[in-house]
Amino acid sequence: MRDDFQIWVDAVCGEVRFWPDREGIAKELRVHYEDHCKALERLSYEPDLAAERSLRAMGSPQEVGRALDRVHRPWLGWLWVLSRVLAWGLGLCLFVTIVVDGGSRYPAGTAPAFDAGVQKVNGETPAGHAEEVCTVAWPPPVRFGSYTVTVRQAACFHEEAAPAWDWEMVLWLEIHTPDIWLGPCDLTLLEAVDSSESCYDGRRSDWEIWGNVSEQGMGTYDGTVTICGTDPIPEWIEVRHETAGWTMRLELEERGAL
Amino acid sequence: MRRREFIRLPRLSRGQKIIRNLLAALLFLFLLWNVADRPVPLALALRWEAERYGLPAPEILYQSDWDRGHRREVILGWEGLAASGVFQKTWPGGLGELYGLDFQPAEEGLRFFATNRPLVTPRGFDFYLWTDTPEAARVACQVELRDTAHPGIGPETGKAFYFEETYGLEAEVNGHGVASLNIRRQGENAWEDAALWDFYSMMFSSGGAVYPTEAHVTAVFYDEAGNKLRTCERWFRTPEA
Repeated sequence: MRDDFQIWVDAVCGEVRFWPDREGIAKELRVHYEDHCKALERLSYEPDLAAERSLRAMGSPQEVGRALDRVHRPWLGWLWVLSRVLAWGLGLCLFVTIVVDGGSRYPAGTAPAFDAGVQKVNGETPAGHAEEVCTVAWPPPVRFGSYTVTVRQAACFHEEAAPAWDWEMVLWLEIHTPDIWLGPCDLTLLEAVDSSESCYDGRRSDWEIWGNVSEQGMGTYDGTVTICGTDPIPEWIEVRHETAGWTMRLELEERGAL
Repeated sequence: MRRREFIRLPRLSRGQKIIRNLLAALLFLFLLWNVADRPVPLALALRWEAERYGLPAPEILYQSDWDRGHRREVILGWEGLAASGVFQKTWPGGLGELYGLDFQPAEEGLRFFATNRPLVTPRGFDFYLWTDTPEAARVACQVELRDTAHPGIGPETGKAFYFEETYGLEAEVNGHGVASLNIRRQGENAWEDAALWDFYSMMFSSGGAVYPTEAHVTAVFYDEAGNKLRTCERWFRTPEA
């Protein structure tokens, strides 16, 4: 009789056009059939009789098969298979790409963007690093296009090892845009002017003013702007982007003689 | 025996599973695209790149032919500003990315853009010339190079070498005022190679370096009938301190 069930199941599955589902259907029908057999055996039916009655109760294999075929439509089934292949395939590609890329892409805000030697502002200077020579008051966030540029920290240091200039000011920036496909804004076309009318032009000389942006993150990026100059320290410096036109004014207050 | 209670997620229908899988595939595709540095078609790449600089979408003044099938140079224009750059396909037949934008400050009449191709050698190079002269169809360009070199090592140490050469170039001007020119060494002279290399470097808008070479360029623009329209001059030399 159990062979009869196999014949019955094969007839049912023959009506189901989407063949990847046939194995699952056969399995489920077998579970249902065996549950019915066990229920009848508990009622003191002989095993062969229980099997025969259970099989008869399953119904016509053609009718059952056609009903299942209406549920397991081929186009929906193949779409499901395709969606699984796409999801798994792209997920695997992404995993491999990130691993091969060295895992160097940090989620926004977790990248080690700060130089360990310059981590503070307007307070104590870590031992063994450049002396901080003035306090810097930075402006509110700057907005242009879809970008918002925020100064997170600013510091001005006296650099004895650098013969060409006396002080170096560093701004740590956070750049945000909701248009995540754009990438970070540009920080290379910068120029500045200070209270003594000195000009700092990144095109003219790299050591006057320059900026760079971390490519890590999606929609949020870290950037720095560095300005180097000679004494005396100005009262203020205004940084400007040449094409975007945004400006940022920093007020400096000298702490004491160098 | 007590049964453990598990938190069971609702069982999804096949249609719901399809939607879930397709959404996941879209998300992975987007992340892959982002990890690959966001390759896009040229026009979109230009618009996005311009937005990074706070500029509107540019006008494409010039596009070179594909170099080895995956790389082309572009010259872009805005009101009072222009830039040269390279558009490179991320893979053969695929989308691309724009890089190496070199912005030129606004100068009336004439601008120069050095090629970004990696095949620049001391034997010479290609460069682009842009003009706002209406109806310009052809340009005849004369480049006078002068260089004074003082070798610091070797048997010629202490001597001064003076190099001077004039090059005549011609090219057609496209509808946006851009002409592609080609300058090549005339002989087997190391000083000429150095002078050409300095001339190439001075075309980039970023400054700061000191060059012993100076170049005087005279460009004469003609219309289609061969009538002279305009003559422009430009000096390339290291500014005095």
